[in-house]
Amino acid sequence: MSQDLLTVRNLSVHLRCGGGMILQDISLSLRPRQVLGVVGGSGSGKTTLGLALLRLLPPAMEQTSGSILYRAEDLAACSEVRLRALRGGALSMVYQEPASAFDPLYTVGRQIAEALEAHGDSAGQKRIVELLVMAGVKDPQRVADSYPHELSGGLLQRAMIAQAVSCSPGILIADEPTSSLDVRVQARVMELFMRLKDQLGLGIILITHDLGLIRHFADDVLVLDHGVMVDHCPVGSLLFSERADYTRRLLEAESL
Amino acid sequence: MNQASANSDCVAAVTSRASELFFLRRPGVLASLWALGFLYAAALLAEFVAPYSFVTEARAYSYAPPSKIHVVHEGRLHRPFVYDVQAAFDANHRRYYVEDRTRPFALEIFGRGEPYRLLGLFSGDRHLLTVREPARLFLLGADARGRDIFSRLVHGGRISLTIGLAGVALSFFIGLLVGGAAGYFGGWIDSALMRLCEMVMMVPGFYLLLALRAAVPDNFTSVQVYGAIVIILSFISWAGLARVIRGMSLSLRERDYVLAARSMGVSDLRIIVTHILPHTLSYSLAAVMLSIPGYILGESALSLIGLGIQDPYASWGNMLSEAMSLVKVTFAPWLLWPAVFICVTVACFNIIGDALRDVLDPDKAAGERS
Repeated sequence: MSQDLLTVRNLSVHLRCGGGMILQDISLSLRPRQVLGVVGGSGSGKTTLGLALLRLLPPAMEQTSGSILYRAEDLAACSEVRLRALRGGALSMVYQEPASAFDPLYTVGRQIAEALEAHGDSAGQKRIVELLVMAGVKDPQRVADSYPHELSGGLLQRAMIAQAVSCSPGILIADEPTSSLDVRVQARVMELFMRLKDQLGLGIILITHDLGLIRHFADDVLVLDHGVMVDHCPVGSLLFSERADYTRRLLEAESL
Repeated sequence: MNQASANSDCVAAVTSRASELFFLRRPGVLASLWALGFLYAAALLAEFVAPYSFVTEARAYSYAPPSKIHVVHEGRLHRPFVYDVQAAFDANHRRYYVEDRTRPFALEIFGRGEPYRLLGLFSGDRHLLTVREPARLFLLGADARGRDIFSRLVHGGRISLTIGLAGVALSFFIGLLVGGAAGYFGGWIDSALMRLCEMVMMVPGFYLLLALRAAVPDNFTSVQVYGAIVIILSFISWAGLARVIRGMSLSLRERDYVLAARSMGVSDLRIIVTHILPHTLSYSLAAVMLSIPGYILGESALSLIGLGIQDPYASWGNMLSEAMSLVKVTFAPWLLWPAVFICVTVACFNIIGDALRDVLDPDKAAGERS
């Protein structure tokens, strides 16, 4: 238990002002070098789970119960200043749309530097190039000096991953990191995740609706249906028939 | 939101780059830029451009009309010159001026005149255009105390033209920060800041101007009065901008890159300043241009009713206060020149502002092209 990076107990999220339930009683844990897949249909609360872990829920939602422990530190009890240090420094997130996750007004390098500066790093050009190389970018200087609209989706996704790991977080939350990329690039980006996981000892939460990705890359899987955790098991046991109804339907839909 | 907005951002960047040149080709823009350029240059170099200082009085030339510039002296061609004038009274005891046609005084470019210190730094005594004593050059006539109206207009430009820039700088700083913070944070911060804006906007502008001016001690020096007017004018006009910027920030904060920056632990102030406010620039740049005339008119209005810049210091507004009586205006219509300068300046800023707004608004530009 103590070696867990992240422990979430009974996390519930509701809309404010007595609104509906978004997530109910989610519990999970994550160790270093472990990949936890989160699957579910559209609107099942996958992305909200990622944002709740970063404590960046939209203003209309609030966490109504549960605790999020990062290395035994309760995020719910953290001050805003401490949270800022933890975001990027402990947990960071990679988004679905690389093209819109960078501000079109600044170069990619400038935005990676911004993240580094936010964590008190002096952010030299060398460090940025290093990070991009680590993310598998072949001509890092050009990418760093480019504006987002000058780069392809695959390159931007690598740059975003470079930014996400720039402040040596323990956990990377990847929110559908490959769904806007073509299949070939998808495979390479996933390989990159796996390499970084081993190299940096990251725990990865892989949010996706693609069961194929989960089967290939995840160790454990958490199945969400309308905000309720219907299954939480090792990937290997996904195919056994004692799984929840919803999981079975997901698996069947995939084989169509 | 995603690919579509990224694309539209790119398109906006490209079209705005292409229309930078297009902007200059709009009717009146180039002329307005030139006109403003001349006015600001003249105000900057006022001591040199004006033949006299703004306090130099020549009581013998009270309400002297604009000097006539002649080229023929005693039947022979002469370089451009003026005659000295002398006051006389007609049968109805009305004053008129007669030219003393015996001696021509040539217009001298870079001629010697009153000594001055340009901007308080460089001393000199050469003026752009002047005539030798005892004649006086009144390009646009003289006021009651025989002060040259052109000289006072040029010096007054320093106040009337810069008060808009200073006021805009201050109120935009406040408006952008308040609007950005209100839109970005939302919730009670938003409500509190917007109610504050509404309180400021609720009071009719001119009465608020008067009330605030009444709160300023009347033993201020002219520099302090200038500062007070800037602050008062900014205080009145930041609220409108803050409301619009707040609306834009409300939608900008939903952009993915704002969330991405937040999830990397970038501070709120930094996100507002680097990722929110620059995206409102297309609006605020045009708004800056369109709001400068308001400051110029505000200063003029205050000075006109005697609450702004005080005589002997010149501003276009307090020069106009002399023109408030119909009798004086019919007798010396050249007292209205400051009004002409105000109109021209305000029109120029509006033309440039309109053109900027059209150019920077991608939707409108696209509509015009199709």
